This record gives sequence, structure tokens and C-alpha cells, in this order.
Amino acid sequence: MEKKVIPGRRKKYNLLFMTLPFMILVLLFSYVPIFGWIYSVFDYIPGISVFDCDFVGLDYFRLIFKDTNVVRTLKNTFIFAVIGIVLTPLPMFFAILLNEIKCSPVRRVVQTFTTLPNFISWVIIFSLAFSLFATDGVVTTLIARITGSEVTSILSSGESVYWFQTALGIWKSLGWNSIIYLAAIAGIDQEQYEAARVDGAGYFQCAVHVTLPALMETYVVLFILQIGNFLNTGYEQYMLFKNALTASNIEVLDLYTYRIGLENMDYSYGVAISILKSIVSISLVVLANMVAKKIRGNTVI
Amino acid sequence: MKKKSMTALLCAIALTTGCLYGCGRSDGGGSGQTNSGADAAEAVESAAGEGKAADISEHVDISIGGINVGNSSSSEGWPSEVVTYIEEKFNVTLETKSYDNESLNLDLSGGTTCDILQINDEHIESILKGKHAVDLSGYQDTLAQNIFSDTYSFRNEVLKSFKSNGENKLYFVTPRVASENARSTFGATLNYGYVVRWDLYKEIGRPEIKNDDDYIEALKKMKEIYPVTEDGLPVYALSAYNDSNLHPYFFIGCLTQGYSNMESGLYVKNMKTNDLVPDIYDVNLNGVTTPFWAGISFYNKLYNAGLLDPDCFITKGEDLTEKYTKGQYLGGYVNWHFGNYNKNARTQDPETMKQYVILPAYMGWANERTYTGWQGKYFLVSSHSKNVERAVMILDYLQSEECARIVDNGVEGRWETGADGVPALTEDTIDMKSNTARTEEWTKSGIGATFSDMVGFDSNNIASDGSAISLWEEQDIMVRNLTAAEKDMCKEFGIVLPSDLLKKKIESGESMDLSAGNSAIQFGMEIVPSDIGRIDSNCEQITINAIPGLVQAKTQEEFQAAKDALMTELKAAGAEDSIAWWMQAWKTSREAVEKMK
Repeated sequence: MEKKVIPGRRKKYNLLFMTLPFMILVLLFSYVPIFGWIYSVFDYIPGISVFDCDFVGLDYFRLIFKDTNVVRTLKNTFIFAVIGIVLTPLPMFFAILLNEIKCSPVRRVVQTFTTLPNFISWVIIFSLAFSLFATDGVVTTLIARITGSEVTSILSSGESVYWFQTALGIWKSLGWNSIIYLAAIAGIDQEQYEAARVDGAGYFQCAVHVTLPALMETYVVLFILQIGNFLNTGYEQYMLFKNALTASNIEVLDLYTYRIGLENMDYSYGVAISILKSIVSISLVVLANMVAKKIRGNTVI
Repeated sequence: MKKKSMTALLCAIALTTGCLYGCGRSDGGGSGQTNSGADAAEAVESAAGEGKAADISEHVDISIGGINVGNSSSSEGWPSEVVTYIEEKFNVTLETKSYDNESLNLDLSGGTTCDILQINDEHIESILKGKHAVDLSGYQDTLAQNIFSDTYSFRNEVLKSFKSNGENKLYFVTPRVASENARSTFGATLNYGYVVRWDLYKEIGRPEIKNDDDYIEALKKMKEIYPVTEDGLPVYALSAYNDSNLHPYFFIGCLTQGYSNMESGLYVKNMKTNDLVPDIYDVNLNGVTTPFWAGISFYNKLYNAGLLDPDCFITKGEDLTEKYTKGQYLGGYVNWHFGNYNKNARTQDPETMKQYVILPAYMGWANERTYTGWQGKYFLVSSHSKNVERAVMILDYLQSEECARIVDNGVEGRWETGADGVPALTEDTIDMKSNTARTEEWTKSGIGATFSDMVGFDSNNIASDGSAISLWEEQDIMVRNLTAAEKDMCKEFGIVLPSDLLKKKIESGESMDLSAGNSAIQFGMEIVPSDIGRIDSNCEQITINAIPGLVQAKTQEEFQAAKDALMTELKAAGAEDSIAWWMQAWKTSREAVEKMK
């Protein structure tokens, strides 16, 4: 008896097969490195097989709880992350505003100019910021002339670190992050707008009652993913802008891990801190997913 | 349908293969060996034991890599005359590779290091425990006779005792080892001290600078007559730079108090007594002013006098160099900050007086007797090398008197031995160094270039022909190479060379040099345990964070309060445990080294 092949199922297998290279990439770059966690239970010295190094058990994890720097950097990370989360709707609002520009060439120019900073490295951004905000920088000099008083460079202000760094981050990524919302806006059925206009809605009301609700699905998914990245603030930006005056407030967990692991070559302790960070991040994703299920009835993951 | 499936399958295979190939280990032109360091080291030792004769019939590639070693691929004039000479002598092609800590660790872990490696103290443990270095003792009577020559006997004894994991074998060699007959010299100009702009300093009547207060006074006067540059940019006395941690603060203090630094400036060595002193946590020092506190006090005075660059704490090294190049600073303490200012000014006007020059501080960084060579630069032959013997031969040649001579003076022909047997630089070579039109030719000669930090002999050692290794430090040559500003400086002070200012001060007892320092003690120090290293790193960071409060203190009370707060924080971070360990380790090492002498 000939075995009957269900065409739909075969097609699905083919598609699954096509994902294989990407699965391998994920496996290689996201799962294989987990093997590196083993370094946290050894006193690892580079150049020596990890199994020839002294076994220290959970000593480095105990050290985390005694290390006051972990608490300080964790606090900084939370502050940056919370500010970041509070400002997550910005790209969505920017996309809505951009969509309201009816002159296509102007819209394209604005979009290009706001997307470009995403491709500028933090090193260049630091140089730009130094030229603008140093004591004799363009912006500082201008403010000093306007106010007629001596102005301290914002780069050397420990108090302004959180907002200034967040503002730089937003300037860099706003255009890029709005692309996904622009795509979502393009997918909204035009009949909804026509119906709203028939009911007497203007631009603002269309945006509030049609565009915004249609974008909420995308926003919630991205929001939950952002929570998963709560502690992944990165370190390049903070490393470059770190100086004696900002060090206490700007040092985030990622930067501290970099300092411990690579600058001090204390690899094992650096790995232990990273593991802690991963555990907290996974817990947050699970929590956010559960909250999403409660509110929306379905999960993201 | 079948065709589509096949296409999908082929695409998937192609992508998968691509991914796996891309992620595979690249040989990168390295040795490509994957055997463990231990296996390779054993194989090499066995070969050495057989006492093979030197065989250079086969042409091979030899790579030399290390921290602060430049990349030959981006080096101007590579291969220079010196490099070509060595290549021909040993039938090799040489290349150099720059490492930082991370890339070196990566290569060590993968067993793909260069044939000859230069490491610092931080890597000694991993090199020895991982058996990444070839035991040079096995080649003592064959390929490494220069390494085991009398000049290096004390150095070798120290390295065998303290840097061999207790095996009493020689795994490392150091560069620039001073011999007993090394002559005293201060060079033509000073590298470290009180920096001034010669034209301005002369204009204010070149007041004598004996200490920081005199210096600040001079800087103040110079700023009064030169408040902005010709381009309208603001002028400051000087600045620190924040990507060099504590260096800007303790180093100037080292010069004014007579110390040399260790371990990021947390500990300093008294260059008269060879005592170790905690530089920052000075609670139990009975009022001794350490370099760090002298430096901080200096910056505090500059700040309160309105002379310090207001961007002092956000400036990075490259910003500092750029400001020097633009002429925005009037002073400083080292010559490698100047950027291109002096060069650019001389290009515009060869007779210009607008030049940074250095006046002596209390301690002149000269005449160090490096009987164990330069600390923190250890050369080894990698046990992963495919051509261990050739690498040993090259390393041995680098330790020879001949190699030091050609690296410092150029290949033969650039210098000649006269009928009286005395070697001397040719007129052409002397002209080439100072003639800006012959810069390319000078670079190509390789004099004082790539291998300058690798050769074994100190440039002041007396060679077998009775002359110093470096022929440049003859007084008449040094005088000829002075700039117009330096010549004017000598005329004003009635001296022959700018460094004579230091020489005179030392003779009169006002200054000191490094001659009493015993650098071997550092070699004998145990490897810093990880818990102490962690305390030190934390203390360093705490201190960096406290510096702005100290420098910007408006009154003595405010300064003292900031200092007390720092002391409390350092104590809580375990500074006293660190000091106890360092003092004990120093004492042990000092006793052991002094017994050897």
C-alpha cells in the first residue's frame, strides 16, 4: 500500500529544514558559549586547561554577595533600564508623527537623518560629544555666552549622567527603532482610516483611535523583549563616557563585568557575575510573559 | 515540486556549510598547531637535549609578538636595513605582531602564539603553568651562548630563581641589561621633569625652578603673557588625562619625591633606600609625603590658581596630545605628551624658540642600573613554534653585543671602525638623523626602531671594542643634534647639553638619579594572589573616583576632609590587608635578591 504524503506537512518540513543554518548559528553563538559558565567554578588562568585550574566551587558566587560594587553597578543598571523602559513608547510616537508628514521627500529625509546615527559607533559619538559639550565645546560656550556665567561641562557632571546618557542613546537609536512601527503602520487597513474620517475624525483622532491601537500589539511584544534585556545595557557607551566624576553613576553591570573580566583578567569572577545577570534576565522574561498572559490572554514566548 | 525541494535542500546545505566554515578556527598565518603547551614543550626539550647543531639551510618565517610591540604590516619602512640584515643572517623572514592582554590570552589558550613572545608580569603564571615557554637552558652550549654569556649571569640567576616555577630553568630573557662596566650618562635632553615652553620661560626671565611652588609660579607668569594661542584657543598650565588611571598624579610626584612606581601607583619604591611604600594609604607613614599625595597637592594648587585645564577629568590621552599639538598647554612632566608641537614649529621655522623643553625635577630619570634588564618585558620562545631552534637563534642574537650595536647605530656602513679600532658613526648617518628631508631614509635604516626594546645589551654598556654600544651618546654628536631652542637654552644657562642642568644639580646634592635603585627586587616578587589583586584594583578605582574632590578642594580643611573620607573608604576595601601582603612579599624578595648579589 502506497504511503500517502500530506502536501501541507511536507511543505512545513521543508520550511523547518530551511531554518537549520540559523538554528546552528544560534546554537554556536548562544548555546555553545554557555559551556563557558564552567569557568566560574574554577580559578581560571588563561593558557591553562580549565580542568588543570583549581576548583573553587561556588566561592565566586559568594563573593558577589560581599562585593559592594555589584550592588552599586546593579543600582545604576536598574536606573538606566527603568528610564529606558519608561521611554520605550518614544519610537512608536515618532513613527506616528513621521507617518503624519504627508510630503514624501521630507518624510524620507527625516527618516534617513534619524536612522543614520544608529550606524555611528560610540567612539565617534564620544568625540562629537566632546567637541560639543567640553568646557570650550560649541554648546557649552554658547550656553555660557547666553547665560553670561561660567558653565560646567555636562560630561563632567555625575548628577546628569543618567539623563544625558539616555538622551544620547535615544538620539542614536530613535529612527532605527521606529522602523518596525512604520512597517506596522503600513500594514493598517486604510478602510479603518476612511471609516474614521467618515465619522468626522481628524488627523489627531485617527492617530489616537486607529494607528495607536493597531501598534499596541507590536509595542507589547517589543516591550516584553525589552524587559528580557533589562540588564543588558551594554558597556561601550558607558566605558567611553566614564571618567573620575561620572564613574560612580555610570558604571553598569556589563561595564563592571568587562572591567573585572578583561581589564583585571579576573575571568572566573567576571563569568560568575554574568551568570547572575543571565539568571535575573531569564526570570524577568518569564515574569513578563506571565503578566502578558494574564492581561492579553496569550503569551509571547 | 521535487525541483523545489532539491533547491531548498541545496540552499540549506550551502548556508550550513558557510556558517560552519565561517565559525571554524582560522590559522591566520600562525603555526596552526593545536597540541597542548605541555606536549610541545616536552618535544622541544627532548630535541634540545640532543644538542643539534645550528642548521639554517631551510628558509622559515619567524614571528615576534608582544605587548607594545608594533605590527610589521603597518610599520613604515619595514623591512628596515636592520631587519633585512637579521633575515639574511638567519635565512628567515621576520614579522612582528602587536598583542594586548586579551589577544595574547586568546592565542595562549589556542596555542597559536608567535614564535618569540614578549609578555609582562601578568602572564608569567599562565606561561609557566601552561608550559608555553621553551627551556633555554637546554641550548646553553649550542644555540644560546649569548644568552648565557657573563653579561647576563646575574639576570639569568634571578630569572631562574624567581621566574621558573621553582624549576631553576631559564624560560625568559629581558632586554637592556646593564653590565658592571656600563657608563653613566644623562643623554642630551631630559625625558621627564618640569616642562616649559622655552620662548615663554625665557621671556619671563627663566626663574629657577626648585620645587612645585616655583614651577606653579613660573606657569602663572607664562600664562599671563600668553593667555590664548595664536589661533585664539585658551591656554592652560597642563592637564591630567583620565584613561591612564592614577599615572598623571603619582608620576609627577615620583619625580619630585624620588620614587619609582609599581602596581599602578598603589605602591612606590624609594629610589634611595629601595624601601617599598604604600603610595595612597599613607596612614602609618609618619608624615612622609608620598608621590601620589605630592602630585594631588600639585594639581590642587594648579586648580586653585586657575591654571588647570577645566576638562582635566574628562580629557583622554589623544585629547591631551591634540591640545599640546595646538600649543594649549604651557607645562607638563613627560616628553611623550607633546604631540607634534615641537616638530610642527620647527618645520615652519627651524630656528624657532617655540619649543617645549624639560627642566630637571628633584629626581632625574637617568642612570638606572638595570642589572636584571627592563622589568615587565620578558621574552621567551614559544613551545608552540614550528621552528623552535631558529627562534632560539634569533632570540640569542637579539641578546648579542653585535645586535645591540646595529639596532642602536644601524648596520655596518652606517658606522665604521677607524684605524685606531674605535667605532664611530659616519657623517652621513649623523646628518640623516637631523635632516628632515631624509626622514624616509632614516626610517628605512631601522636605527633605534622596532628591535630597540628587544636587544639584550643596555645602550650604555661598554662593548668589547671599548666603546659604548650606542655611538650616539658621544658629546659632540649630541651637541650637533640639538634644536635651536635647546642650543639657546644651553647658551643661556652656560651649559653644553640641556641634561647638564640635572648633572650639575646631582653633583651639588640638590637632585638625584636612579643609580641607587635595585630593580632586581621587583623580579623576586611573588605573583600577586587574586584576592589581593582584587583589593588593589578596587582601591585604585576608589581613589580615581575621589580625585576630583581632592583636586577641586578650595581650602585645606576641604582637602583634608576629602582625604579622610578616601582613607576610610580604602580601609573598608581592605587596603591594610593589601599593604601587609605587599610589605611581606617585598621583604622576602629583597632578602633573597640581596643574598644573591
